[in-house]
Amino acid sequence: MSTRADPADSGDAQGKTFAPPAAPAANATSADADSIALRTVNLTLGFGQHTVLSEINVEVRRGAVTAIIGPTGSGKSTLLRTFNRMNDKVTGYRHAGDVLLGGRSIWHPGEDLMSLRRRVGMLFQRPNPFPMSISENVTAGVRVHKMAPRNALSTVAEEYLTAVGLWHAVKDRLKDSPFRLSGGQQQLLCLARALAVRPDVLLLDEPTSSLDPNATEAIEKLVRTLLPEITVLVVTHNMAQATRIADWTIFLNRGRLVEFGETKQVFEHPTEQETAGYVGGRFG
Amino acid sequence: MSKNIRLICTAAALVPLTILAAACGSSTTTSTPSSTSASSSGKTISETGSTLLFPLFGAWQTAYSSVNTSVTVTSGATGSGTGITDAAEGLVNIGASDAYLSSSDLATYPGLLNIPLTVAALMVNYNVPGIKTPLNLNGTVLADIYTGKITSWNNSAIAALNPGVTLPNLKIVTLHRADSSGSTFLFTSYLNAQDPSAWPSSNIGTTITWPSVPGALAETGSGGMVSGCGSTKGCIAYIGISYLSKTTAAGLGEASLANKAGKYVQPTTSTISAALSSFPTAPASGGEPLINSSSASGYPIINYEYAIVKKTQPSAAEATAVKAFLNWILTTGDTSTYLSSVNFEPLPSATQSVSKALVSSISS
Amino acid sequence: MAATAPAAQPAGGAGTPPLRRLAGMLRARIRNGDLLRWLGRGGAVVPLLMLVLVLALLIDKAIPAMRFSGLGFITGSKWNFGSQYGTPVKSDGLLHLPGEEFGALPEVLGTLATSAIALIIAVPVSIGAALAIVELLPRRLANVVGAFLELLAGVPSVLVGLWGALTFGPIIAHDVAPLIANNAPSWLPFLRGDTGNGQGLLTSGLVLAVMIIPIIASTARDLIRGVPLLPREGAIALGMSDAECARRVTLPWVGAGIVGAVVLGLGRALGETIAVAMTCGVALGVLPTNLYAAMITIAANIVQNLDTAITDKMDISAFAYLALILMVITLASNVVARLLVQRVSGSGLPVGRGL
Repeated sequence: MSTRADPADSGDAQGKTFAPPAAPAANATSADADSIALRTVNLTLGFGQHTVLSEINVEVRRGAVTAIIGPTGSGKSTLLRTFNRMNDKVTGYRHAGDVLLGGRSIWHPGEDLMSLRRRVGMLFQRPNPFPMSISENVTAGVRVHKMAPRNALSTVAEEYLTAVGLWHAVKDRLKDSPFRLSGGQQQLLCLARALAVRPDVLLLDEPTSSLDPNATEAIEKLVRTLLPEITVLVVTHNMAQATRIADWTIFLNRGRLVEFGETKQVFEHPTEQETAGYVGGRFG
Repeated sequence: MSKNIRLICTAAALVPLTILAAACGSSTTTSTPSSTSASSSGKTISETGSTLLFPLFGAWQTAYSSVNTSVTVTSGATGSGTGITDAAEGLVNIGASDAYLSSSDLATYPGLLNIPLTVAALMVNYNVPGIKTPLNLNGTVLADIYTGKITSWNNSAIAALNPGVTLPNLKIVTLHRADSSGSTFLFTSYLNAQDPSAWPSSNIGTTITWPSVPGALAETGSGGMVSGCGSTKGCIAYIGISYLSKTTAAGLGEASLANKAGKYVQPTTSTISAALSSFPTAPASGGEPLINSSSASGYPIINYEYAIVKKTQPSAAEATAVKAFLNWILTTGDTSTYLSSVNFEPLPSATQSVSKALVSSISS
Repeated sequence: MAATAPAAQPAGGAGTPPLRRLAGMLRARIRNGDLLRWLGRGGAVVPLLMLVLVLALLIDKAIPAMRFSGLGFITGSKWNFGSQYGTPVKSDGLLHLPGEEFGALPEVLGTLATSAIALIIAVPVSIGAALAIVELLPRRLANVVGAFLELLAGVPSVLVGLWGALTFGPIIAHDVAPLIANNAPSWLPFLRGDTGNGQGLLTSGLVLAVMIIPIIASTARDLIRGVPLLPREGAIALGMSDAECARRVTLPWVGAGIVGAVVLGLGRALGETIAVAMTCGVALGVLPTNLYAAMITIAANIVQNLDTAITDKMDISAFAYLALILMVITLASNVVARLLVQRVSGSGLPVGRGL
C-alpha cells in the first residue's frame, strides 16, 4: 500500500485531480481504497518527442462502467492500452507518473506482465478470433494460464459461450473455424475468450464500432451483466452508447483530462466549457 | 545535353557489338595466305575429352596456333567418355580418351578411329610420414587395402614387401575417384591383372562400385586426389603422372609397383619405355592395353592417350585440317619439349607409324 | 475462327484489299481482347506441354533399363556400369555389357535422407529466424539480417558445396560426428559407429539445410509480416508471451503458406546436384551404415558418372530411369504439399485473407 500516492499530494502538480464525488452505487461519501479499482497518478506518456497524455489523475470505480470519450487524437485509446501495458513495446514509448491496479503499480518489478494481462482483459475495435476452432478460441487464455485441467476445457467453453449468449448458435460447430461466424458473433466469441480468464478489469476499445445495431445492443446489454464482479472501461466515439452503458465518464481532449464525473452529470451539466462543446456536438 | 547523352549511350551500346563482329570475323573469315599449312584456311578444330590429357592438349593448342595461324583449336576437359561420344556423334573433330575404344564402342560407332598420341603413366601415392624410401607395393596388397582386408600401414603383408623399413601403426585411408575417371580404369585394370582372385574383372571400369571400407574417401578430379591425400594422414591414392610435381609438393610418397616379373619399379622415362618395349607393337587399329608389363624393369601402369576421330569427316577442308593437326602432334607435339612438363613419354617409333597410318586414313 | 466471325470485321468492307481487311480484323481482335486471351491460353499450355514432353522423353529413354532391371531397379542396391571392354551380351532380348546391374535403392534413400535431414534442421531454424526478423529484432537490424538472407539465397550451390567440402566436412569429421557418436544412446545405432571423413549423409544434409534455409526463411518472413496485427494483439492482451503468440496465433495464421515454403525448399533439396555431389562421398552401390557414412543421391550419381555411362546405351537408359524416379519423387512431394495445404486451409484458417 506504500506505493499508493495520496491524491491530495499529487494535486499540487499542474494537472487537476478529480476525486469523483460519491459513487452512486457505493453510497460512500469519499472513495475508499476498496471502491477504487484503477487509479492513475500524474500519468504522463508519449512516444518519442510527442506527448500523448499529460498529468492524468483519475480514479476508476470498482464494479462500474467508466466511459472514456474525447475527439480523435485525444489519447483515449492510448490511455486504455496503458492499463494492460499494451504500449510497452511501441518504439519510443515513455511514461512518467503511475497507474495503480488495486493499489499496486502496474510497473512494479514484482508484477508479472502475463498475469497482469490476465487480470486486465481487453476487447478490440474489430473482432480478432485466433486461427483455431471456436471452442479453442474460448479456452485459449485458460490454457495459456493453466487455469483449468485439459478435461475441463469443454465445460469452460460451454460456460462462457453461454454467458455471452452464443452457445445455441455454435454448439454444433465448436470444432469449426470462427471465421465463418458473423462479425457480431465473432466479437461475442472474443468477449467470451476475454471473460474465460476471469479478469478483474475489462478494457473495451470501441468494441462495437464495426458491428451492426443488433450486435451492438447485444454487447451493450452483456456489459451491464458483468457488473459488479468486473470493472469495465470503455472507449467510445458514440455519445449515446456512453450514456446508455457508463456510470462514469472521462472526457479527454488533446491529451489532457478535461472532466471526470458521473455520466449523467458530464453529459447534462458539464462543469467545463470544453466538455459542453464536445458532448453538445460542437466539435470532435 | 540530353542529345549528347543519347549519343554516348548509343556509342556505348555499339562497342560490344563491334567487338563481337570483329571477334567472329577473325575466327571465321580471316584467311592468312602466308600460312605454312597447305590448304586448310580459316578452320576450327574442336576437341573434348580426357581431363588427364587436357593440360598437354592446351600446350599443343598454343604452339600449333603459331605454326598454323589459320586454324583455331578449341578444347574442353569433359572426361574421356564424353570425348568418345562427342567425336562419334560428330559434335567435335577430336575426342581425347585415356582408354582405347571397346568392342562395343566400335560396334555402336563403326568408322571411329582411336589414334595413340602419347604415353602416360599412373602413380600410386601415399601420405605416410617418416617413410623416406619409396614403398614397394603389388596388386595383391593394393587390392587387399582397397577391399578393407589390410587396414594398417604396419600390416605384415606390407612389411613383407618392404624389409628393413619401419612402418608406422597408422590407419590406412583409401582414396578413390568420386567421378568417372580413366585413372580408375587403369588402376583397377592393374589390380585385376596382378591378382584376379583378389580383384575380379567385373570390377574394372571408369566408375566402379568400390568395396565398402570404413573411412574410405572419394575425391573429384586428379587435383582433388592430390589435396585430399595431402591433408589425410595414412592415405593412399592413385594419381596420373602429369600431377607428379604436385604430389611431390604435397609431400606424398610415390610407390614402386610390382610388375608381372615381380620387380618393383618407379615410373621414370626408362621404366616406361622398358614397359612399352615389352608389349607388341600396337595393332593397326591402334587400341592396346599396356598394363602389368612383363619386362623386369618396366613400370606396370602405363597407357596410350588416344585421339578419337571419325574416319569420315564432314568436309574435305576439315579432314585436311584435322590430319595436319594430328600429324603435327605426332611429329612435333609428341616430343619432350611438350611432354616433359606433364611427365608423359613419346610414342615408340613403331606405334608412331601405326598412328600416322591411321591419320592418313581420315577422309571426307 | 476469324473468318466465321463477321461481327469482328468493322474495317473489312467488300472492296478493301484482303491484307488490309486482315489487319482490320486483327486490330478488332486485339481490341476485343481475343488475341490477348489466346496468347494467355497458349502461355498457360506451354509449361504443361514442356512437362509432358520431358516426361515422355525420359520414359522413352528409360524403357530399356525398365525392361532390363524391372522393379529390382528400386529395390536393389548394387550398381555396376558393366565391363566396358567385355563383349556385349544379350539377355531377354536386350543387348548390354557383361556385369551390368542397376539397383537405385541407395540413390533413392540417399536423396530422401539428405532432404529429410535438411528439412529437420532448416524448418525450425528458418521459422525461428523469420519470427525473430519480424517480431524481435529492431527494424534496422532486421532489415540487415533480411538482406543477408536474400543474399544467401542467391549464393550459387557450387560455392556452398565447396564450403561444405573444404570447411564444413572436416569440422564434422573431427568435432561434430565424434561428439554425437559417443553420446548417442545405444538403441540409436544409426547415430553411432565410425564417424567417417566428413563426406556423407550428415554433411550433405547440413549443406542442403544451408541452401534451403534462406528460401524457407525469406518466404516465412514475408508471410509472417502479412499476419494482421489485431489477432496478435489479442493474444498479447490475453496474457500470452511472444512465444505463445507465435505458436498459437501467428504461425497457424500462415500455416498453409509455411507448408508451401517448406515444399519449395524440399524441391530444391531433392534436386540439388553439385553441392551434394561434392559432399556426399559418392558411395556407389552402398547403403549408408550410419549418419556419417559416405552415400549417394540420384543427382550425384548422374552428375559424377555421366562420363562413364555416356558411351553405353543401357547405362544412359539407367540414368534416364533414375531421373524419372527423381521427377516422380519431386512431383509426389508437390502433390503431398498441395493436399497438406488444402487440409490446413480446409480447417477454416484465413489463408490469403487479411482481416
